[in-house]
Amino acid sequence: MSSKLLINLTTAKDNPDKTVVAFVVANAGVAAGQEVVIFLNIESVRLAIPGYADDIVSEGFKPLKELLTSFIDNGGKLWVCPPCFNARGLDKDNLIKSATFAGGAPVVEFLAQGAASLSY
Amino acid sequence: MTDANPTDLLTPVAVLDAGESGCGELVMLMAQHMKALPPNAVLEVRAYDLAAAVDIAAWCRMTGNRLLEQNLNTKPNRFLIQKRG
Repeated sequence: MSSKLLINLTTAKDNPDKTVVAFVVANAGVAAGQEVVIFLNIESVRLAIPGYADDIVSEGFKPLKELLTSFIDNGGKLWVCPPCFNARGLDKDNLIKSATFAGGAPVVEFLAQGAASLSY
Repeated sequence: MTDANPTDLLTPVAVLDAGESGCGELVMLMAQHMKALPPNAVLEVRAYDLAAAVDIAAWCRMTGNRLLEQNLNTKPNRFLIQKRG
């Protein structure tokens, strides 16, 4: 059984429900001892900016701020797509903890190593 | 990353100026340029992408090409990649 999980996330404030549920599932992964990477691409790259996630909520779940902190504190990794990030004019020198820039090649490599994947 | 090969073997025979290309586009450009080269030839890649080092290293691991050197202190970043033999 693979011990790797890739969550592909494309949304942020444009779809709070989807964004929050992606982190809920990601946290289930880290809680189960999996190596979990959330690939932030398209609109979700904004989540790598400090404070951006603070007011994102979805009824029935903990606030994203709390889910994000749990994810990071338990070893989850955030990979940020550079072209998607640049296209939005964001500050590359100011990312949240555990977020790093990574593009298609490491994503494919992670999958090729046997990572299961879910896309939101 | 350094290599014990003689210096002349590390001289690039081709240069890819990838500009701002990133994500899947950067490695596709590299694959296309590498295809035209003979085995063991060295390609120099110049890239501004924020994840160039991460992406190129992953691409090399997957393709069997060797990342001989990288300089991340220059803009663009520079990479020397030897095509698999």
